[in-house]
Amino acid sequence: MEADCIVKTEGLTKTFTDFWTRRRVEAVKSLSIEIHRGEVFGLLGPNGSGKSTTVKMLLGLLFPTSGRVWVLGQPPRDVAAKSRIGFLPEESYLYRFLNADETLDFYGRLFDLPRAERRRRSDDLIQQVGLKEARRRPLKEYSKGMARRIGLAQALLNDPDFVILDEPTSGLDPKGRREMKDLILELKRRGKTVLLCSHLLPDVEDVCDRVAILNKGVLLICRPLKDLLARMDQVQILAKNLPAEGLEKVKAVIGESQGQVVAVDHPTTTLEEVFLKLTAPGGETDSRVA
Amino acid sequence: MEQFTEIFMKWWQAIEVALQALPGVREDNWPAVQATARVVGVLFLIAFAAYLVSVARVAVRERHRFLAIALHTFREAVRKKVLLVLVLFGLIVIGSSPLLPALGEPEAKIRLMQAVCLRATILFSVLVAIFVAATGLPADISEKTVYSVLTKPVSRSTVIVGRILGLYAMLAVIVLVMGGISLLFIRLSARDLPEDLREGKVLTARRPVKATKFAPVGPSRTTPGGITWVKGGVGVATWEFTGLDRRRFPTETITVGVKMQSNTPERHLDYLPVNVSVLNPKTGESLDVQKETKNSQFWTVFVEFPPTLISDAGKLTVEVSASRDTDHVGAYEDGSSLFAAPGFFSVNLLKALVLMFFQCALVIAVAVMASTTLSGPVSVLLAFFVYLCGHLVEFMSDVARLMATTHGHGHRHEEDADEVSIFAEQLRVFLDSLLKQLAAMLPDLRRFDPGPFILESIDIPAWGLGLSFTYMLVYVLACFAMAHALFQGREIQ
Repeated sequence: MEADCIVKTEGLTKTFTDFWTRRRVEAVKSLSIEIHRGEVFGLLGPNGSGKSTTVKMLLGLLFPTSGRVWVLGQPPRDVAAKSRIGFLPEESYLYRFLNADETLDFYGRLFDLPRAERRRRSDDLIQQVGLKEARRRPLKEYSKGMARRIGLAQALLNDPDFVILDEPTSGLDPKGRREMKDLILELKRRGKTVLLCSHLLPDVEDVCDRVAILNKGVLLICRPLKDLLARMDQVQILAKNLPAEGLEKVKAVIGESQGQVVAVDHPTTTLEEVFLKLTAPGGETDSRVA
Repeated sequence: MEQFTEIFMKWWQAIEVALQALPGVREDNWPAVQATARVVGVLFLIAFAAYLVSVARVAVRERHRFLAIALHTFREAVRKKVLLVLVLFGLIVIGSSPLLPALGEPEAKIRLMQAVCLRATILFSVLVAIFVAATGLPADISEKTVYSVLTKPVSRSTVIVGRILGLYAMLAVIVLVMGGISLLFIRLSARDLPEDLREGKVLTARRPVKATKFAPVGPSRTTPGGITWVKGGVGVATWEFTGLDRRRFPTETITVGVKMQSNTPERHLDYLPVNVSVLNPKTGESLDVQKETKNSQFWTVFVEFPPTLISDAGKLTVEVSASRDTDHVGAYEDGSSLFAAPGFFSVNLLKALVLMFFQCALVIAVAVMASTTLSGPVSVLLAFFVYLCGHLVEFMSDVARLMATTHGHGHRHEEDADEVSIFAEQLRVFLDSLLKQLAAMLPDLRRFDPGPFILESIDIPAWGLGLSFTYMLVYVLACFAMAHALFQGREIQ
């Protein structure tokens, strides 16, 4: 396996059987992908497409029916390799009777981190995910968004080289989603490899370098996002403060060059941008209340 | 040592019974099958030892991790409501034991309290152990919290070891709390008893004094395992005690206990009478009593006698023989003991708690093993089944013996033999084999019963604790190995 290859699967197949070993469903069919060091890789697909099954096979929770898989150069059940992996499951399945401090301390012990190091990382992560005020409350009192945040904190506790995020933005408000996306980009900046499983396409579009799309367990496509989205037969010109005469001249030049003007429009912002602007501290809402 | 041999032989016999039931095993090839089974058995033990060494290495390497899981399991268990409710019930039963009405001798009330406290402690500890141990892992899997553990650098064997250790820590706390409260109530209630009765008979732990010489009289036959058999009417098993000091027996009566086994050709009989004589070898003064022993079972009879039967030179003779001429009595060289020099009741109660802990620890291992692959309710049922069978081993042996007796009776009436359908015969053979297997392979939990010791004020010997620990350890390791194999192969969906 190549040195910069973090995940490699060859003909990975998972068939679920019933109690009598009769075939029930073929969740993943002959999947072959590679995830390279330092990239944000998106695994996309509708519900039931085999994303979570693939992730569980990468983590050694499910065993492939056939095919082979390596994570960080090791088989998925290798215990040592797991010390370099961080995993945020689809729902934050954490112990509800523990509080945030106890949760991170417990998982820190599983990573065999020394007490002082556990304490330091817990403090940093609790601060980072914005749970400083709620750190002593049991998790059963947390909202879904707060549970996602503490789930994320436990996934990053070991400063992993490879982070698997399964539907990381589900249950988060727009601010939380933006923070999650910023965090993914920050991880990429720090050289970490991220596998992002989601069916929320705008989130994937914002952060992923490459994507693979699964449907009914079959890999439909696996390419860099830019290649996938670029329309090579069209050109977009984004100009600022262009007067009407200038626009007419541009149209004329396009016409002279045998080109065709398809649309001339003012670009719009996103609803997310508007929401964040309005709800930000000191934003327009605050000014209005004041 | 003979106790270890006895346990091992019981297991080996169960394996032999299972082998005999295999198709193709006949009388002519049985010696070859037996020899092969021995070789395979030895190889299996070597492989199992190597497996345990490898697990121990992982455990040492991941010691911080399994301690984290143990601490987590303990914390999770003590926050469960079912635990608090059951322990509270147990404490209410223990706390109300002084209110129970008792008639007869002045110490009867304390004996009753001791019995109630012991039973309540063991019952509620076992209930808590089964419920908490059998439901923990299935709940983790169904609520998917196990994802966050198994995706960390933790091997599945470490998860099981940590879980079992955490449950043992919880169990130790429960047993100690209930035992401590029991001791408090018993001590408070015994304040009204006269001091000599209290310290000399009720709240004491008499240590055994072994016989110095074993000399069977009449024809006898010694079988492997160190049992000497004497026939009723012609043989007597005799033990001599020397160097006894009457001052070491401050009570009015001394107890002698004799461990034996009795046999009869009439296999349908449940109990067989035996004669026990305690006599002063110098004056000839004696105490003769008839006691009953369980047919074909190891049995200990207790006889109380006055200290005057000990001669001035400190000698005493104990004789045991079968009451009926057709029966045999099997005796051990060191099978007779006097229970004398008083020890500390509190220490003995602590030993009793240790025995109870061993019993619950074994049940916890079974429950955890079941919970690695079965759902919580089914695991609870399985653990209860093993617990109940563990206390019904004798009953199962009896049923198997009676079935064999009925079978023999049928053969004597050959004219009826044709009427016995093949199906019924096969069913009988199957049930007989199944019961024997269950009785032999399931843990005999009566070995962990401290009741006879506490209620007879007899010190629990250290070797008894050691034997019980070893017995428990064998089952716990077997359960762990099965749990590991099952959990290792389990997919977490």
